[in-house]
Amino acid sequence: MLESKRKPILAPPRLKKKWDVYIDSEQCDGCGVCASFCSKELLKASENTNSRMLHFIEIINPEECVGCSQCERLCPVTAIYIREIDLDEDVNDES
Amino acid sequence: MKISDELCIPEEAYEHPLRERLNLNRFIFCPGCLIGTAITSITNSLREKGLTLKDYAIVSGIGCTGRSSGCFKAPAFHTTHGRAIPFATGLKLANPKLKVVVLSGDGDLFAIGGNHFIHAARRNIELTVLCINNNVYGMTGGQVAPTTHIDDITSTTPYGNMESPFNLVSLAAAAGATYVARWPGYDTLRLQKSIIKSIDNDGFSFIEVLAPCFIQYGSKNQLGDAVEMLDWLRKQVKIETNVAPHKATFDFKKGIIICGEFVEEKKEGFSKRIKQLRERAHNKINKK
Amino acid sequence: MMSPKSIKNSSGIKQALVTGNTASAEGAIAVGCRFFAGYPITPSSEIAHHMSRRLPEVNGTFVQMEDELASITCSLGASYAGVKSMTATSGPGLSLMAESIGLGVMLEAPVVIVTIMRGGPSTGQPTNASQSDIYQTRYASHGDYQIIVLTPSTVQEMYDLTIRAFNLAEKYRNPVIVASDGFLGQMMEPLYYHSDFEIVNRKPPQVPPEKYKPFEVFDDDLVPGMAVAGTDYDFYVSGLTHDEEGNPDQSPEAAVKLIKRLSDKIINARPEINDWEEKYLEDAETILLSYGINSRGVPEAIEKLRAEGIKIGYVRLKSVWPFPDELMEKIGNHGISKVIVSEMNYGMVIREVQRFRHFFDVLGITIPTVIPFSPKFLYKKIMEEIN
Repeated sequence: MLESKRKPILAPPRLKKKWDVYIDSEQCDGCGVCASFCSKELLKASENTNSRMLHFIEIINPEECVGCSQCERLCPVTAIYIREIDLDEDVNDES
Repeated sequence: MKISDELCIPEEAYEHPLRERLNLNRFIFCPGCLIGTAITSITNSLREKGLTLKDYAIVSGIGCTGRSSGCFKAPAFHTTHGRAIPFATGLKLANPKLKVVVLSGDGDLFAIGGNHFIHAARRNIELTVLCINNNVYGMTGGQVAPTTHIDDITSTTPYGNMESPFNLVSLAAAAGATYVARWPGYDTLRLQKSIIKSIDNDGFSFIEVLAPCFIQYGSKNQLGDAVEMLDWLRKQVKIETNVAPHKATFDFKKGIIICGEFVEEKKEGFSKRIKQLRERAHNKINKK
Repeated sequence: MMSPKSIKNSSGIKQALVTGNTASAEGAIAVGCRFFAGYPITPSSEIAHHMSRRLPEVNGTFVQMEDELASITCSLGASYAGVKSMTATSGPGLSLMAESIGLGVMLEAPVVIVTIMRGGPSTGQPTNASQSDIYQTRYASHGDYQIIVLTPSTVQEMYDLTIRAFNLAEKYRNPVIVASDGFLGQMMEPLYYHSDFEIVNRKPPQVPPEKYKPFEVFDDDLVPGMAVAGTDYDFYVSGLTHDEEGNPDQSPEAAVKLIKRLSDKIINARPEINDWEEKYLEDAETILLSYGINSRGVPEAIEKLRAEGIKIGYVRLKSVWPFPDELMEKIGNHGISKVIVSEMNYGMVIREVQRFRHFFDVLGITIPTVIPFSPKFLYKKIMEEIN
């Protein structure tokens, strides 16, 4: 009995989340500060350049973003920002 | 604003939440300079407090940080070198409901503006002063500043700096500031919370934000580019609590920079106290 | 002497024997000044003393700052919070304020600076009169700019011209200087606390906040509407050369456009700014030109000379900058052959008058003394110049 999972009855369902990462390549200066602070090391400089001939930052694996939003808070020019999106699956749902 | 086609494509366009409060065309800072980060942190703190442009004014001096006031969509004043604090004092005393934020550099606030800083702190005028400390005079070509460390190479100390730097936290606390903190520029969460506290403080609040200049200071002292200097900074920063202001070490040679909140006092602010003069004047007239 | 409409002022006094400094302070309060940031300097400290007592009585703010640089910058800040503000100083202090006067011009902030001139240069003679700062009031700051300078010569004029200074500052959004001197500031004369003046307030923004550009001009007077902090308007004002939106613009076109507008704003208004007192112009062959405290001995000297049959008249300038070219042309059109400039310095305003020497001969009684010329002395000197 005690080993069975105890779920709170009245709490709302905790939904799984994903994070969309938006990078404004024109605004990005390619400074690399976001890349150096990304907790999952998902950002790197692109091989392409924007209209100011700067190698803007791009995200390698957007699915692995955990939403720490260090990049968003650190970017000196508001070129990278993330948005948290609730998915339809419950966190505790193992099916 | 363009969203690149090669990256995440959202279904509907989602704009950076702070962009409506910023003038991006006025961000003239070098790529990676943490002044931009300080600006976005202040904007976020003001937004979290629910303040609109009717409630605050931004005043800056001259220099790299001096160009920051125009980046805000707010009443923004770009004044002369060292005189940001008296200008802000005038704004605050004439309209005590305004929250006035002073954003300036270390040379602007502590060299030419040193006298104004210590007197404003002594008066405990309700200003929030953020000093973006880049250890050098950046905009004018990398000259030595009151916060440059010993033996550093700058444009005016090619053989090494022979002067000891100010400890800004210690100076602010000694002058009478009632909220004093020091944070590295990259620690945005703590910085934003600190800014909110400093705006709420009914007195002179001083926050030193570390943002070493990699173009002028870093290149002359072989410290690398933006990312390398941030790593170098990260190794030295130690966040501690309950440290006395005069013990807040800031030493690049020893590799220790103590950050945190150093002073948090409650003392009546100047603009409130000066209103008492009106009561006293009226009482004197009524007695006659 | 004007006949006053005696109305009680805010302190309930109709007339009193006061010093020039007090009169200037009372004039400021009468016209709506509610902010004073100053630093003590002989001989202008009494303005600060008086303001420190009176401003709290009228719910204004007085603050003594740590130096003159802080004083003027603080007054500019208060101006941008929507309050009429002023500061008071003397020659050495005005030297320190120079940079911020330029800032006031670029920000187009109304502010009044009362300078009580004293013996100079450097520490000079703090307790004596002087007119040696007349060029300094015009050219204190660097750059190509215009400024309005008024010169009172009686205690009543300290009151009246300080009021006028505020109105001009608000109307043209420019710093205005009232150039008095150590004697006039300290001497006592009867002052009528009249309300016989209009109160001019700065032009408010003429478009809603979304469309507002801080330096966009819609009217012929070249004055933009002024938004202040604490309202729905956001704006960026800077000492850097800027365009209409306030964006720093380092192109030559921006410099020409901005400096021309800021200067034309004052130069075009010269006919309105000009202020002088004249007598005996119709039949005069010689005119004595003076200003400030040095013109107090002039009427008696002129009367004495006229009694001897000499056809001489006088002109007393009440505004020296922008220099009243229109007055010089008027004197020229009257067929006057000689203008004698009398001033307490080694030759400053005389150089401005000399620009018109195609109209008349220009002679000078220019002595860098610290005591105003007595009627006897003037009589003697004028006789020397004429013969």
